[in-house]
Amino acid sequence: MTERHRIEIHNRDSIRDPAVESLLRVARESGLPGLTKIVRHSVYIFEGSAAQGEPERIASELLTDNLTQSYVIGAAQEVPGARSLSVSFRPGVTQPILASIKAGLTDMKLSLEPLGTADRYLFYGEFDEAALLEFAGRFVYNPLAECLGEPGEVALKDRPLLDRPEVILVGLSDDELLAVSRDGGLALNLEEMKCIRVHFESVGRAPSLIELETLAQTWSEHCVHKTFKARVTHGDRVFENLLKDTVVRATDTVDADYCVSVFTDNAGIVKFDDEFDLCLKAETHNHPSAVAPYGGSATGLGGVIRDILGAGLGARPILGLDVFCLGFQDMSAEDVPKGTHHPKRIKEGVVAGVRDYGNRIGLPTAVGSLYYGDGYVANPVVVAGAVGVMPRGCDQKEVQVGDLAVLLGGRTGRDGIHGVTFSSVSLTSDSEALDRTAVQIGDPLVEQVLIDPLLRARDERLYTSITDCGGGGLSSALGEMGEGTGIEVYLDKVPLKEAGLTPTEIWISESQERMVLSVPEENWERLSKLFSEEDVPCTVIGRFTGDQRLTLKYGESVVGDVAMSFLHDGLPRRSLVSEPGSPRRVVDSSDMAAAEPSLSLSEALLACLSHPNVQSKDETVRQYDHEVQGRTVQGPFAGEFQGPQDAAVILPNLASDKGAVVAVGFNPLQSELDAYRMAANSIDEAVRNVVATGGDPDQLCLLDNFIWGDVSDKHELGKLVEATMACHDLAVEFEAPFVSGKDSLNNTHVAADGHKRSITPTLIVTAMTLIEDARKCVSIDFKESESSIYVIGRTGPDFGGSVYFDVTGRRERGVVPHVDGKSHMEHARALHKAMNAGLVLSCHDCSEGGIAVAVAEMSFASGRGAWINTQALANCSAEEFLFSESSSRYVVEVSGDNKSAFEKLFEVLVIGQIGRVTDGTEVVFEGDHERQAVSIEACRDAWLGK
Amino acid sequence: MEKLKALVLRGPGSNCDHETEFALAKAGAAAIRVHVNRLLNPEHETHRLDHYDLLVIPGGFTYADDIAAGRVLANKLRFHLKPQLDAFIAAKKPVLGICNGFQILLDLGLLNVSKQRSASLSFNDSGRFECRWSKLKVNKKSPCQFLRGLDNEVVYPIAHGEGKFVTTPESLAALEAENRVVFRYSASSYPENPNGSHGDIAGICDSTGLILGLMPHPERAQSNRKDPHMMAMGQKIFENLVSVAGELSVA
Repeated sequence: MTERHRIEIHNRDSIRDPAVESLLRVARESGLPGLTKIVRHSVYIFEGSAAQGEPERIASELLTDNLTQSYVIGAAQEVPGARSLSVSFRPGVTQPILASIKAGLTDMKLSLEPLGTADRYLFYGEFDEAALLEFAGRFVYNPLAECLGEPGEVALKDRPLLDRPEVILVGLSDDELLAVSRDGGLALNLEEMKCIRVHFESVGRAPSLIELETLAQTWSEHCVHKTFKARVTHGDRVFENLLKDTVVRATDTVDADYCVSVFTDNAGIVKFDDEFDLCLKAETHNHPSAVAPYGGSATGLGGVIRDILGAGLGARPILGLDVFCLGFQDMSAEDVPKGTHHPKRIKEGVVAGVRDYGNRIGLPTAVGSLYYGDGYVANPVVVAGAVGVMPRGCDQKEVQVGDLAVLLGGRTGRDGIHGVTFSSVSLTSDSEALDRTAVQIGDPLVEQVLIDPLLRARDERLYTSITDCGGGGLSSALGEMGEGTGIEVYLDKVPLKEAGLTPTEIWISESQERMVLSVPEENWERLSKLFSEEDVPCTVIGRFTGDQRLTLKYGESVVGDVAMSFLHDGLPRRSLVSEPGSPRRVVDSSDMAAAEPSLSLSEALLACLSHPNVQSKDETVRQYDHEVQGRTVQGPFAGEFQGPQDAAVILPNLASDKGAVVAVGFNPLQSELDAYRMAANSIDEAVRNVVATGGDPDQLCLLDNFIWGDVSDKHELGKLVEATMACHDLAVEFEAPFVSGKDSLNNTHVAADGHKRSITPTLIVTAMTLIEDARKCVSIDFKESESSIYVIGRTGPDFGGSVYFDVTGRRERGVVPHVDGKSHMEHARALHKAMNAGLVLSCHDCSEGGIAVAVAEMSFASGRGAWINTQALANCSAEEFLFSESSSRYVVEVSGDNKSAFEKLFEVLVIGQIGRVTDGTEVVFEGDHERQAVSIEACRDAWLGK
Repeated sequence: MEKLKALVLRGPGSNCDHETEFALAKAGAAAIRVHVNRLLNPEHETHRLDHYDLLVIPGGFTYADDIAAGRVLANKLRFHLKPQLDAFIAAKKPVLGICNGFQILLDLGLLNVSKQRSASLSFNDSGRFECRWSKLKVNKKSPCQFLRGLDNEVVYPIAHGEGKFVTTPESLAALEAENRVVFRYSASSYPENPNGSHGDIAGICDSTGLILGLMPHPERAQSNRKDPHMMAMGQKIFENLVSVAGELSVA
């Protein structure tokens, strides 16, 4: 028997372990109120025969910080008064830290082998054993990859290698066909199953499991967007292809000369300057994040970063963005549906996931939003996006016959099996337990290390094409890459995380941090040297053939063989009917009268500022590194007292002052009232945010992320159609092309009692534009006492979906504002001209909470007061003036000397001077009959939630 | 005149190497990012430490910060490059460690006050990674040679989860007696002191003033295009590194 050596390390008494302190807080809120203390030790197990003093050297020189920690060598000792639980990786699963420890030992010329590590937790206090174990399984370790016990204590269970059963479809009834799809987790409908049966009848044999899986992956909603490509009849309109007839058509109509590659690649590509292009993409990762918030959001970000690495011939990721829509944080635990995490836990998990992945990979996360609503409890929204930069001329790629298929990066394991088909069906009360294998495990280091050598290989043009392994894993990546040529795949060559994966598992696993390249054979040696020099694994796993077939081999045997034509063109087109929405609401006089309890203007302002959707997200946002790479000219906060900035400005090229301006927009509160206008306002807001920060309104590009519920319901589908129509109309009016996008449909949850609920229909729009000189970007904080405050754009009684109606108990009332994109553009162009001429001291977009909140934020960001005349606008009550959320408006600060020059630019447009900046300590609202004042400090405290 | 050669030593997980290289190049150096694997298996003279006039270890999460932040890379340097590193320091060539690089310098013992380990960087008191621009007091009395032209107070971004400077009362007294505390956060309370550092310490130097380690990121100040003065205050560190290296190479 091999000798085992165990080293246990603990912090000295004076050293805090904050991670464990927060774990204790979670435990007390999660059924373990009697827990008094948690302590964490690190355990390292080594194997081999050790020279005298070797374990001591390892402990003291490599593993222990002798100032803050102590170590013990030998078997685990009981700790009086504590229940001890150790957590380690499941036997057989590759543990990344072991490579680091091995490197350390090799550097020290020591011969022991690291067997594994564990975290040993000591729990003190009164608690129920079963509750402790349940808590541990949810918050202390991930049962998919980890287990209780220390390495070597848990035996490796052999999993039998599955054979390749053929799946007989011929002769099955409709119900039986559907059962094959459902039981196999394939998410294929009856028509698709029948189509597969017909195809294999013509081939003259039954499909093998791996072939059926290949089709299920390739034909999944996630990969092929069946709904968006469907023929849809919507009232008297017929869309032959919903996406092409709306969003894509708008891009064609706008025909912007800066679009380089739209809708075809992993990301949209646009021109930045004569040297560089930019690419951008945003992805949802809702289902995985509902089940495993940390892993779900981390791998969501990891995935979109790979989209950037795999756009064109590859770009360097330079900016990250994230949007979360979650249930309200104060929801009582009893109201949370069974099998669903509490919104607070989801938030902690998804924030930590983006934080750890983004920060470690070195991506500045400077754009984002956090939104709370009742419609996101069981179906949270997790959007991750990224921007990348590449030299011009890298946008085209084409696989050549004879190229090697090369797999780059991470190993393949059992994580993420059926991710894409899982994401195409409802979550249920059992999802959390059953679907864990559908969630991927992220390791940012594996992705980080491949970026540098990959971009060098790009610059040497060592490969002809590239794509990332995302949803569907290799099946989708290689199936897509080989579409024009055919490909032969050697599944047994794929490096694995653990032994015993079946060929099918290898083929469809969504293990993270993998990219696929097509490499001309003569470049292989050079390419593999580039990667191996930096310890990045790369392996030949196939060859592009020219026979137009997908051939899957495991060793000598062919385990799958499908014609590319069937794989990519065999899917039957769907034909859908949707129901147009109910007639648009008109202004109802009872809307205004229904305020209850009535708030004074100043109380309403404070209520709006402390609304969860307006309040500061400081604690979350500061966990993200928004400054790494040294490109962030304008981050998420502005002013001496750090108010919320509308958009981020980054420098794609450090040697130039030219910047990119990026922001998001969405307003789900409006979507139940009017889906078309909700979408229009989402675009309007994203555009406002970038223009308010100094972005050029004539170089806009947009991304869409549709997040919808049950689109088999014709009303839900109707809302989707109307939202896409709005995308078309507004993109044309703004002359702002959509360059990429992604839909996430069927975000539904079926409760234990069978009640099915859909997510709040949500469109998240990302806008990007350029700023010629980033030094001229404009922030929201007031700059100068006695300067004038203007509002740009028309203000009307637009309260539908407004924060003001929400805090005054009128959420279902009011009219969603109409967006006039053409008029907005005229104002935006004039504003941009004013900014370029240096006439604008500060600017804030006017959105949630209206003019009142915008002015208050500009005020407390700077510490300067404001005086506002509530009767400055004609035909506008004080309430309407302050809190209306009419679209397309900006609040702007202009120095006294520049007033006439500024006003001249807006001669034929709508602006109003509404007040001035003061050197006082209050925000004052004054009309003929009343004067109300709120201190800046009270505003800031309300916003900070103090 | 030939440019001074600056080495930006990167490893798996370094992620501030590009902007650090940029800041050094802007300061007039010929800056090269070199992977630690190449220093361990040199194929070329640019893979040797003695080829360079100054060394910067940039920020990041080297080797995923496995075991502890910077530990594995520090261990590699200690067991493979110690003689080269000692010669580099003996030749009075400047060394700068930023964030993860600071963690590595401490692990290597290059900033110790005695034979014992004098200081560590532990988890922030908040338990969270934190990113913000921090006001720093600059100790002009310190022997650190990279402070020329710096204001008495500068603002640099911090971004770390393990940046709490932890030391013993004796070591703290010794560091203060020798004026080796170079940068302090502007106050002891949160968020001015963002991580709970003992003595509000953000950066220290060795007794020669040629080795500096700090948690804040002066190389990121160059993003501050709207405030050229603040941007210059970050860049000064790199200009001083290069000019000090230049003075030494002439002498």
